[in-house]
This record gives sequence, C-alpha cells and structure tokens, in this order.
Amino acid sequence: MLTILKSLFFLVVVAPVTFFTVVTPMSAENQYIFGLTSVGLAVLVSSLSKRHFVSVILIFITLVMSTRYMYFRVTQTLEFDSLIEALLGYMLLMAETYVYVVLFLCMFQLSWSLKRKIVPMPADPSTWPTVDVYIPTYNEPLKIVCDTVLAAQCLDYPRDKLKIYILDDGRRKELATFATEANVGYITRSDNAHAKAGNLNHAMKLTHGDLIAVFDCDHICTKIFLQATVGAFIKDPKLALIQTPHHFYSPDPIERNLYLGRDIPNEGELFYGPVQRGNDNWNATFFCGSCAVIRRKALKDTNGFAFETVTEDAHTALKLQRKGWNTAYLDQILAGGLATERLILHIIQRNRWARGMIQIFRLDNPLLGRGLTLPQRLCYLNAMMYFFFAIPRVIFMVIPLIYLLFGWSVIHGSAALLFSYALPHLILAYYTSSRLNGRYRYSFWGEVYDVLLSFHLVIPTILVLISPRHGKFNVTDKGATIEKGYFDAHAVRPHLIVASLLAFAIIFGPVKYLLPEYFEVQLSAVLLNVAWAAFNLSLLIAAICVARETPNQRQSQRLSLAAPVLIYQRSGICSRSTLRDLSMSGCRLDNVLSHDLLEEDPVTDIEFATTHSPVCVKVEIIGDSSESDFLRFRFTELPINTRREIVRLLFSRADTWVRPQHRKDNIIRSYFTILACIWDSLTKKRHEFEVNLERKVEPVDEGVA
Amino acid sequence: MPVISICSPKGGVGKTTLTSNLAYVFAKAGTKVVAIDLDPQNAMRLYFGQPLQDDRGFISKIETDPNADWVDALINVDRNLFVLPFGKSRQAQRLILDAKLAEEGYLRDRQSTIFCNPDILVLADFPPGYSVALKALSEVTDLTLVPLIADAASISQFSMLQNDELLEGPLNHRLGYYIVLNMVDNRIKLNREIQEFATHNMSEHLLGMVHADTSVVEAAALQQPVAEFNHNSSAAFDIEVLAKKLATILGFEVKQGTILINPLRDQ
Repeated sequence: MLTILKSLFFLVVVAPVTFFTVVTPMSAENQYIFGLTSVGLAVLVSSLSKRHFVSVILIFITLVMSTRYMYFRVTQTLEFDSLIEALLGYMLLMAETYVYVVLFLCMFQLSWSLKRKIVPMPADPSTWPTVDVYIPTYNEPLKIVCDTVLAAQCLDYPRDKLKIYILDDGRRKELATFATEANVGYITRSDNAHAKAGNLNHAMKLTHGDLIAVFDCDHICTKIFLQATVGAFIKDPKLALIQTPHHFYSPDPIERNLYLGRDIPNEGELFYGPVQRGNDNWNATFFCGSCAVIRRKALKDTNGFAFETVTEDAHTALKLQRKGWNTAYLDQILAGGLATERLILHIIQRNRWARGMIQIFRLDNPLLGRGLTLPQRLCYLNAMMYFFFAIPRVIFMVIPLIYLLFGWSVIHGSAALLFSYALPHLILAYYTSSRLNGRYRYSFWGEVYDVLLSFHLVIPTILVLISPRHGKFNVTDKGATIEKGYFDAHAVRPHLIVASLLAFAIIFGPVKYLLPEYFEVQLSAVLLNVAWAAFNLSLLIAAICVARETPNQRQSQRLSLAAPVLIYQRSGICSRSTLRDLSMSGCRLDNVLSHDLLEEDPVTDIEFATTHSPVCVKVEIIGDSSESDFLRFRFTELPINTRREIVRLLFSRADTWVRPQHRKDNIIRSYFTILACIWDSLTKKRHEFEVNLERKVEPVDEGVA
Repeated sequence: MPVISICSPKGGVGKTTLTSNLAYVFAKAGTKVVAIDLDPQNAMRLYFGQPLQDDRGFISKIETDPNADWVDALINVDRNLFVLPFGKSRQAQRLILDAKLAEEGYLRDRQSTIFCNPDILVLADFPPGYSVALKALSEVTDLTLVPLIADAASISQFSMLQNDELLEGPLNHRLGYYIVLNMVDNRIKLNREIQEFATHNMSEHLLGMVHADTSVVEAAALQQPVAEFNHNSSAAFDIEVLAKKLATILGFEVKQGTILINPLRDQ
C-alpha cells in the first residue's frame, strides 16, 4: 500500500513539478533569483544533516538543475551565424552532454555505496580453500619483485594451502634462481602472447588452487590479506572476485611535483573509495588487475582472463558478471605498491587504461549483450565513459579562445542569460560532489588530473574508437630513481601551447573591448570568457608544474617506524637504540654511541626486535655521525631469510597501511590550495615527503613472564 | 624477604654477573637487597667494588662461633644494597659450614635476620652444580633462577631441570625455577634456534634472555654495574626486564619507579 502511495506521489507531484522546473523558460533576472534560491536551499538542506537521505535529495536537486541547464542549452542557444560557429557550437554542446551524462551516471554510482565488512574465516583451517598467489612480472627488476614474493610468504594462511608463483614473462634466469632460493614456484612460457592476461591464463593451466590471488609485482601484501578476503568466497558460493584497493606508498608524480607534501587525497582515492564501493552496491565491482582474489571455477566459465583488450582486468570482471557471477569490493588497504615515478610514465599508463576501456566499450559494450542487470550495465558504462574525458576536456580548455581571439560566438544569446543558467548548475554539481566525495577527492583536483592527461589521450581515444582491435599492452616502469630535477617540457608541450594562447587571449580580449573602432565585442561576453580562460589557465599551469620533475634519488622508499633495535659493535658491546626509519636498503637510528668510540669500535650488526624472531643485519655506517642525533646505516648483505624478516617488519603488519581520513573538502579552500601549490612549485619551495608508520611496531616482549 | 637463588648445573654461565646486576637493579628501584655469595671462590664481592685484598666474609667466624649471625659480616655497598661475601676460607671451615647447613632449620632459626626478614630481598649465588648450600637454601628459597647459555649443551640441561636432577628434588618449595638464557648472540643461528626451542618447550619456565654484551665484562673489570658503564647496554636493559618480571612473579608492587615488597610467606 505504502509503495503504491509512494509511486502515486512521485507520479502526481514529483514528476510534473520536476518537468516544469526543467522546461520553464525565464529571463536572466528571474533565472538568477530562481537558481540562486535553489542553491541556497540546497546548501541549507545539506547543512542540516549528514544523513544519506539528505544526500539523495541534494543529488535530485542537482540533477534537476543540470537538466534545466541542458534543456536551456538545447532549446535556446543553438542558433549560429556561420558554419564554423555552428561546428564549434555543436562540439561544445557535445562536450557538455558528455559531462551531463557522466554526472548522471556518477550520481547513480556514488549515491548508494556499500561498506563491506570482512567475513571471518571458519574456525577450522582444514575447511579453508587452497590459494595460488600469482605474481606476474615482465621486465621489473628483481629487487622489486623479490619483496613482493617475500611478503606473500609472510601471509597468515595454512602452509599446505598456500602456493606462491612468480609468473615471469621475461624468462629471466635471476628470477628463476631467486624463486628457488626463496622456495616459491616459478612459471614462465615460450612466448608472450596476450601479455599479462596470457601469462595468467598460462599459469592457470599449471596450478590447481581453488582461489587465485593476483599481485602486481610491486604490490606488497600485509599478512592478513587472505584471511580478510577468502571468507567472502566461503560465504557466497557465487562470488567470483573480491577486489581490494591499490594503495601507493611512494608519491605519484602529481603528489611529488605539485602537492609538495600537502595533505590532499591522491588520484586513486576516489576510485578505490566511493566509486568501487558504489559499484559493489550494485554487484558491479570490477577487477583492477592486482590485490584481488578470484575463484578458479568462475574463471573457467569465461575461459580464463580476458585477453581481447589491453585492460584485461575490467573486461574479465565484465565477462564473469555476464555469466552470473558476483563480485565484491573490500575497502581495506591490504597491500602497498609503488606509484609511477615520472609524469611521462603516468601518461603512458593512463593511455593504456583509456585505450583498454574504450576497447571494451566498442567490443563488449556493457549496455548490450546478455547477463547483466541494468545497474550493472550503468556502472560498467560509467567506468568506460569516464575514459572519454580527453576530448570534452580539451574542448572546454580551448572554447574561451574562440570568442576572445576570433570573436566567434559558439553559444547563442546573451552572456548574462547563459551565466544565469550555468551558474546554479555548476555550483550545485561541485557542491554535491564535494559533499559526497569530499574526503576522497578535493574540488577541482579531478580537473587538474584530467587536464594533465587529456591532450595526450585525444588521438588514442579517437583511434581506438575507430579501430578497437589495435593497440598493444605496455608495461609501466616502476622503482626508478630520478637523479636530478628537470622540466619534462616534452610531456606538457600541448599544455604549454594552450596556456600561452589562453594567456594571450586573456589580455587580447579586453584590449579588443577597449578598441571599439576596430573590434565589435560585448563586455559581458568578454568578462565571461576571460574568467573562463583564467580558470582554465590556472588548471593548465598546475598541470604544467607536474612536469617539473623533482629529484627522487632514494633507491628504496624509506618509511618512518619507531621500534627498538640493538647495535653490535666490533668489540662485542651491544647497545639499545630506537629505530627511526627503515627501508629495504638501510635504516636510521637514534645516536646512542659516543663519536670517539665509533671510530675505533665500528658498528657491525643491527638487530631488529621483530615480533616474529630477532633479525640481525650486517651494516656499515654512512655519513658523518659526529654531530648528528642519528646514526645512518646501509645494509651490506641481506640474505633472503633476513630480507623476508625486514619485509615482515616493514610491510607485513595488518595495520601497515591504516591511515587517518583526509579532512573534509571545502570548495573555495581547495581552489586556493591549487593556486598555492602552483606558487610553491614556481618558487621552488619543497616539502619533505615522508611515509609515516610511527607507533605501529610494538616492542617485542622478551621471553615469557 | 623473598629469597631468590641463582644456580646452574654448569659453570661460566654468568650466575655471579646476573646476581650482582639484579641486585643493583632492585636496589636502585628502592628495594633493600642482600646479595649472598655461597661460592667459595668468593668472587661476587668484586662486582660490588670491594678491593681484592679485602677477604672478609661470613665464613671467617664459623670455627669460633658456628651459630654466629651472618648479618655482622654484611658490607654496605649503597643505601639499599648489601653484600655478604663468602670470605677467604680453608677446607676445614668449609666442612663446618656444610655441616651447619645440613642441620635442620639452621637458616630459618640461626640466620633468620637475613632469611626471614620482611624488609629485604635476598639474592643468593652458588657454585656450579650440586652444593650443600643449594640444598639447604632450597628450604627457604621462593624462586630459583637458572641462567643457561644458548648452546647445544643447554638442551640436555633443560631436561635435567625438568627431571629435578640437580638436587634430586625440587629447587624450592614455592614458585619453582625459571630459566634465563644468558649471553644470547642473535647473530648466531644456533642461538636463535635454541631460543625458539626454549620458547616452545620450556615456555612456562622461561623467564627471558640477556644479550651477549661485552659491556658486562668491561663493567665487571671496572667494578661497576653494567648500566653505569654503558647507559644503553642491551644486557643491562634485559636484566632490568628480568627484574620487572621477577617482581611481578614474586608479588612486588612497582610504584613510581620504586619496587615495594609485599610479604609473601606467612610469618
């Protein structure tokens, strides 16, 4: 009865009101009053409560306002004086339509997110499924692969039910040797057909575990990874996949070159937070290639991992779901990896993602075909639609140039009227997404990320759209060092060109207005376009700043970690100190030794009091410690068993990657932060980047009381 | 008033060093401590800064007055710290001592000032292996501490302890014995493995471990407590941890850095 009443209410009241709100034309003045009143109302409603119901109302108001704007654009602004203006005008409309569709999909995807809990394992370990851990690698150096393997060996899981395999597509001897030494499986093949997907499929033929955990060769897992994920497979026999976040403990190029140490959510946090949780709510979580567990039986239904596209992960999930399998997303960081080191590599990686997603869009469109529910189709569609962003983003970047430089009008009608429609639409869109995702992505940063990539993605996007079967898999290089800071002008050449044009237009537009005998321009249109151009210019400069590569010379990432350690001197004196930071290549301790003694009685070993068993490492001192509060050491030899213990100490703890939340977004503050980042970058200020694991290692309890 | 005996089936495992350093730690924490040397080697006094030629000890009066109170032979080292040296001795004196110790109730009745004093903590050091003194003290001992070195021989000593072979009976009648793995060098794989073995097989009898640390030897040479010689000494830290654990087992109360003794036995 209640549902009928509800439906009736929607049909009789909400639907007509919405319809008239969308279609009623107004004068600029009235539209300002109406628009800004709506914004005020929305802000008021929003500030009343943090409840989900209020968010849904806000989303509704936002979508109505955006629809009203789009209706206005389509019905009132598409009259053009010339062919070129019409062409450009329709291009802009296309870009706006794209944004509008994606806004709709995003709001749908994000508005009901699922906070999945860990399903506990059954008490009897003999009932647990067997697990194969796959670590695919192609050309990554051994020093990266080896820690991933050692961390996998630290997984808390019955020894007889866990097998670890390195899947080496590079057929490298040193990896085979390492696998033997470390006592893990090594699988290679004679060709590299179908890249990563082919590699995984080949291994599947040789191993027999019930479940397959996949880690990219730089994703170091914590020891609870399997116990946190496998339970879900026991509970739900139709579960094919559980995905966990990709967390990067090294800074990506944007963090390193632009944030400069500020606390800002990085690019991945939105996706590995609200987006995948939203997907999970509709049973549409997709596989991200690593840090996930997959059921072998389900993969048999799809003939293994999908290899038709360069993003095998998302496509595999789509195929599994078409066969009726469920997928899940567990929002707990259970592994840490290396972010791409340099901007150019970041661009190459995103290029592959974009090509792959568009390939799936073309070859196996989620809207078509059988086996999916409507929400699943929409979630997958949104994931693919997102990667079309390049073309619209470039259009938005250059459109203000058109009027300021050439005087062509791509939108019919007065600037004031346009602005009165656009303003509430924009404010509400930003305001609502700030409320929904403010802790995962600060306002305008998405634009910076997109602008950074978009110029490079335009051509690949178009090519793949036309010819989806082209394109090969490329591997992202990681773990490199940057010896000296430099400006990667090549990576941002298009940005530099457009930024110069925008800067010129910002000056040229007003100049035109001041010379009415030569040019015919309207003040309001000039102001609107100058403001738009200035906004674009700020985003572009932020993106350009990312190309100013700052040096990153450290061989391996250093993590802050306070823990007790012992220092052995050659004479046999053994003193206690406190570890301050640790990496796979060395460490830093509080200086407890007198300088004079150190000269004649050097430190030879360091003992870490881990919870597992004590570990001693041979070291040599580096740098001058005479004046310093700290002693710095380099590990001189690191046998595999010792290295495994350091991995255990450094990465394996369950709470290794537990992080405090970012503070809430504030739209205005966020924009000024971008400006501040630009300013600091241009004035070469730099904040020290530090991964902090303070207070995470408990001192070991010696013996038994 | 609790009495802790420190003994071992084997020599050279660091009994005397452990006794003296535990005495320092407890004394520093505010407990009145008496360290008794029951080893005719008479070496413990050296750890407390006594000069080599000073050979006073409780044994000197044993011929003239066998029932004399040992308290008179106590040497005050510090406000809270007293040492009772064995003293320079002859065979005849040692025989009389053994005979007296074998007497029923000698310690409880004749030496009650030390062994039944509610205000002091007694740490008694013995010669290696079986001794009459060890047998006699087992009657008044609350807890026996057995330092062992983490080498292959220690495994046989574990079983010796488990079967009460040292005294052909229990080492005391109250809290039993606790093993301390001494001079542990974690750089040596065997040391780590013995530790693991002890943790798995002896866990209820394993009190803890002390790192091999030359600071201990150097401090002894300078007649200093280890902690004073090297403020950051790992051995000193380990001994302090042992002291805290002992205090917990014996029921001391640790308050504001001081350890207050709670009477254990019914008087």
